[in-house]
Amino acid sequence: MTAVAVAGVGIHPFGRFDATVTEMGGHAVKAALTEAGIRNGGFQAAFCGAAYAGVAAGHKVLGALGLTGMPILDVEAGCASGAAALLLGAQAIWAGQYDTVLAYGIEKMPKGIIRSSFFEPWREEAGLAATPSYFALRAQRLMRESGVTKQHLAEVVVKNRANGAHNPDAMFRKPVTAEDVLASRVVCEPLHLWMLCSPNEGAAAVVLRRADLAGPGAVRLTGIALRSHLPGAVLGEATPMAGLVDDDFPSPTALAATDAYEQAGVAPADLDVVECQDTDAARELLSYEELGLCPRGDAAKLFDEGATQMGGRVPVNPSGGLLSKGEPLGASALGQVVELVRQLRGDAGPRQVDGPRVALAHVVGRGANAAVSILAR
Amino acid sequence: MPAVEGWFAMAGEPQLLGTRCTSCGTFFFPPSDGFCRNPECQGTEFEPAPLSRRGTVWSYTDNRYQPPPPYMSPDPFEPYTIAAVELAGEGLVVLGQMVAGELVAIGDEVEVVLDTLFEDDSNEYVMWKWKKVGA
Repeated sequence: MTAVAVAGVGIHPFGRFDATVTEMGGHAVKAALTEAGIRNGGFQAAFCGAAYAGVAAGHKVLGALGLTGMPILDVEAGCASGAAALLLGAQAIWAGQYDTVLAYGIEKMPKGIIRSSFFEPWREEAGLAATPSYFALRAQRLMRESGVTKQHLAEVVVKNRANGAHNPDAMFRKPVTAEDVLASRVVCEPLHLWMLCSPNEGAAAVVLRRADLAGPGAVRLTGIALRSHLPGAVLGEATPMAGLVDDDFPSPTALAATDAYEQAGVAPADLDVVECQDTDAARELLSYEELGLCPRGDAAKLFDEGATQMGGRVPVNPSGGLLSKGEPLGASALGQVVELVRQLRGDAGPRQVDGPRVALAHVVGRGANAAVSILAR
Repeated sequence: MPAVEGWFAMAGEPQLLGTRCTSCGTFFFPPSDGFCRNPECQGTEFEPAPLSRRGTVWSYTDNRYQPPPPYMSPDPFEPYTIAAVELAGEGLVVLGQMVAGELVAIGDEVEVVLDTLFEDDSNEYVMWKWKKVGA
């Protein structure tokens, strides 16, 4: 099987802008194509991740750039939409179908709680469908099972916001203290406002190419997997909240990680840097366990050791994470990949991790869908 | 009147009304029909299944902000607690609001009650809620 390399990356900053989702997508795509040194005809297929951008949103982006004609697939997989686009692109190259493909993700979301057609109307009417409360139910379990305290949750925000202060593409670039975080209002126990990421706007793009056609030393995509929940995890009323230490079912994240590690031929101990889904502060800590960065139940211990801080054994979310960048659903996974490619190239400026060789990106969202991508140089 | 028709008993003791697959015995709430979601089962027939009135709190949180419509908010909005309750007999986890003013913790025993979800000019709409046993 031919290897897949990253030929170019591009990003439109994440935040709030006076620009259409099409314009933001065009910005990111143009930057990625320029870096890859290609234009029309230079890629044979395009895969666009988006959840809230409307019909054929990916087509509109390439239409605005005059770059249509090839197959364009619009892909929706909740918070994993961008990763699903990347997966399809990588699989097409692995299958020998194309030499070069474009994966991009776009989103422009309103402020506040995300409404989702995923929920039946009765659940919304009864006040049982607000996304932050699902995060909070899971966070309460994590606190019970893994020694996680509210202070840990605040310190995760402090870590990520400190990292994000060095990221010009992030929405929030002001460092915060744990006191600040705990002084922000409680949205739903145990989560305070600043422990939750903001749905926002942005775009990111990645050009994938057969590794033998990419330049020497190009970053490679060595593994990528997308998994959904196992049926038992959502029988009856139980919602897709699997992945907890007292749960017999492996979570979508754990399933995707296992697949991606096997494809890439690496183990969690080989990782030098990770970008993970910190939709809320507890979600990041849960990911440590699900991705195998530590044994189950040890998330707080790993964090307390400083392993996931800049300069630690495996820095997590050097970009600032979603807590700093915000989460434009279709773009967030590819935004992680853009960050990790820059980290692996040594181009991450003041937030550069020391000499990384293996990197992992993780997203998880409604469905439940989880995706894990592994990059290496 | 019930906020959702047919999912809980309106007469006698408060009780959630689920369904049970006649082939494999799996319980469902909200009541399921059509296909059984047990992947090992080809069943398509379900019988009514009144569910355990009590359970233990698996997790909980509180909503301190007003969810967007179509949430039927009382006016003014009142924060409310949500509990995910593991039913004693069936092991199903069922979400619901706690009755107003009750604090709760993981592992607490709770029972199902019917309580007002919201009122409009002509009706009071009731929904199942959880209440601490002995509270």
